[in-house]
Amino acid sequence: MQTVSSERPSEPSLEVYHRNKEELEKMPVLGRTKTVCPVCKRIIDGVIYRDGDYVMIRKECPEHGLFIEKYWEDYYLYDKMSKLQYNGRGLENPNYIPDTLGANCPFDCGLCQRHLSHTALANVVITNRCHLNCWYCFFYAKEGEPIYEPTLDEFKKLFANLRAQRPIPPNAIQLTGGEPTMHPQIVEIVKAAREAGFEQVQLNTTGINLGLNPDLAVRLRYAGVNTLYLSFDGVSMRANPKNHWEIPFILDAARKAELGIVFVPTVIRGINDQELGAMVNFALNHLDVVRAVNFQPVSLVGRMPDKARESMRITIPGMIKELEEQTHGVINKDDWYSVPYTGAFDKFLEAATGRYMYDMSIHFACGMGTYVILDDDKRIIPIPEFIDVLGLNEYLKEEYEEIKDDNRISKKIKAAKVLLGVRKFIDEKKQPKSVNFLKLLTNFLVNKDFNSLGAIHHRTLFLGSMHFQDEYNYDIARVERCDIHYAMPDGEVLPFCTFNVFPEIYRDKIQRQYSIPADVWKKQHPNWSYDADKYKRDVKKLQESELYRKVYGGIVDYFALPVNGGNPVPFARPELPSVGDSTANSEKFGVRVKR
Amino acid sequence: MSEVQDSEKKKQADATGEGVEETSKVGIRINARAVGKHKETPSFSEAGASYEDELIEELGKKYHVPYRIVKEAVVAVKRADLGDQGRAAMLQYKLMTDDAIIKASVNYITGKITIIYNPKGAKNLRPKTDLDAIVAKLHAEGIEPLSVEEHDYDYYREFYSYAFNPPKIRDRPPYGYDAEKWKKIREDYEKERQKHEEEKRRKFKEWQQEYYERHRDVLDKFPADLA
Repeated sequence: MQTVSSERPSEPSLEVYHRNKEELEKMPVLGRTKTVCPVCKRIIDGVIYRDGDYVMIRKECPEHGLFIEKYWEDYYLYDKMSKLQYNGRGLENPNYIPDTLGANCPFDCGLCQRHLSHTALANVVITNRCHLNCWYCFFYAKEGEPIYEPTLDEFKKLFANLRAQRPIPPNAIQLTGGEPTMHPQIVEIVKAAREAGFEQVQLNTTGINLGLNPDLAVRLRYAGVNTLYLSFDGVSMRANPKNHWEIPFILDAARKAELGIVFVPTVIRGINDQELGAMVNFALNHLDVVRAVNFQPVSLVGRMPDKARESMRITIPGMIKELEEQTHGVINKDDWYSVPYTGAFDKFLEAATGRYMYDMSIHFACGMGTYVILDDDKRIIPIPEFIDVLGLNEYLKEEYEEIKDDNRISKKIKAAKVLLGVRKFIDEKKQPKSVNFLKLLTNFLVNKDFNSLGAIHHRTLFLGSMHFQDEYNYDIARVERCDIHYAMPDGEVLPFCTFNVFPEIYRDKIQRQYSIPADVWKKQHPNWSYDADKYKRDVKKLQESELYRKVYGGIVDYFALPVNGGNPVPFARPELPSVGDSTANSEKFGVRVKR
Repeated sequence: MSEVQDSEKKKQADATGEGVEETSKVGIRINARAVGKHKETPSFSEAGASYEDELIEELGKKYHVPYRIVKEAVVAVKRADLGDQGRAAMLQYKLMTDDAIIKASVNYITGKITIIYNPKGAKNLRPKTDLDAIVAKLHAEGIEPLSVEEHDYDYYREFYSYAFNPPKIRDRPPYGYDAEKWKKIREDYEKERQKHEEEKRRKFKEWQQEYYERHRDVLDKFPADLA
């Protein structure tokens, strides 16, 4: 039986894991939910409660005992953001109808009729082959394992199935893997996604194949890729052994191909959380191509020792507080809002126009975001500094209630007045010097002039954070609202946190069903070998290149400028190895080098 | 029961679609119609299944669909055996961890367990099981089946084709509209949406042409991309 150790840890932030039952009973309860036993997967009650500044979840399995986990590392943000929660509408045509009506959630997925959100971002796995062997990744074919790599026609069928969702078909798709650029028909697949009607095509990639083959970046952009969803775990080689050396080449290829980049750091406490400010700063240095940094606090899937889990755990507010500290308050926790914030806009605009809006009805604890603007004088200005974001939300909520029962004409008349009223939420004195935000917002909301947003395109950085769940912090109220879904080869559609948290019954199981056995694959591809798929990094060559030294040697620390308070962010500039020292330096970090 | 009587009863069962009750190895009464058949059929390697057996053709295009006719077992159980809703869900999870079980559903309210599985002898390359093994699995979880019905299940038609073409089961009007108001304007909305889709495609083509002009040095090397 699992028991919570009474031994107090030396680190104060870990004490919350070691309360006894008497102490737990005294903690204020914030909510009750359903969750899962990490050991046997029984569905059990979860209690969300406050422990000091932290929001925690506890659950007790009759067989495996008590489990305690951090839910959100900030009570103030929890209290503020939980008020934004609302229920979405799910699908009119769910792909799977279990006779349990979804009572066994999260084991009834497909999507079932109980699900509350439509697909906002559709993930499609292109291949399970990968050119890297990252120690922490289970999601690629090892030698001798079956290969999952559907054909172009099969992808077309998946895309059509996603686009047939009603009432709101997804318009954003992420092609993922393995490494999606390893599929020999990746260009045709992108083209097919566009033809199916997806407007936003993202490629979830290490970027290595693009950095080393810039022509491929141009071909993919032409075919329809908008954005590279790029692994980027830190500025230093220690924090980012995956593609630190290739990043300069990837940025260069993306710049030439006119591809936008979203940096996607997986944040692990004690591993790379000390570089959050440095990553934002690095993104600001490449604002001509980098559109966003989307931090993903680690999802600790699989069994691991409690001590390791507790010390590596970081949640969205934990990440935000670290970023605030590292940027010396320039980007602070009040600048961030949960994704369902946008619901007030959606509801109001739908009621006003009778047209569906993209409905981001996820759970407030799943994702947060903010925008920062780099002004002409290099000042970094988070948008909530000059827009009363919460006031605007409340205003639209109230006005929605006012117009929702009106007839259509009356709705339109009232809506025009409401949109003009939006101006009172913008503080013109505090807005960036380089942008007339009021004019821009009016053009956008009243005239639906999307081109007007181009004025801030290369000045704005979106900062986001999505925290995918694991068995320890699992909350069924979150997964039933998920809007990041995987399209499966059997026609089912699965939320991210069922697909990846229970791979044995979803991701791996279904992919095994639809994969090609290793021996058949070898017969079909006589010239293929597992080893030939793998990337062999020439660290010396990369590190001694002009581009590498220019990109990492020429970083401006925007936070160290007087206009931003004059305090440098930690690890803003990685130490450049001296020429000739490259290979030895890299091997220290376990990087496979070419000999 | 003599062999002749047994054979007669099986023929009758095949004709009426009703099962013949027998006692399985693990001691419960099962519908023997399909069980008897798959026991006699060789496993996939004996049957010489190949990857090509897993391909189907739709409108002249080939798709990989690993299963065709598989089995669906419907097991009636006592609710008390399931314990509670949470334990029923756990049982469903455990059943689904078996790769030979394609889909499982444990309905706590009705006391019914439905299991779609890949039977021994099916012509595909995927793991297989049989009813005895499934019933043994249930026994191991403390479940005493009251009855077991088993029949053929057309995976391609009933599962795969449904998931790829799910019918609309309900209306979800825009916020601020009830079903009545929405009914009146839905048609207009659909037309407008269609127009918007066409406009999107046109704009993308225009953008592609401009992009091509800027990057023809690269794109001209890949004429297939331009098609």
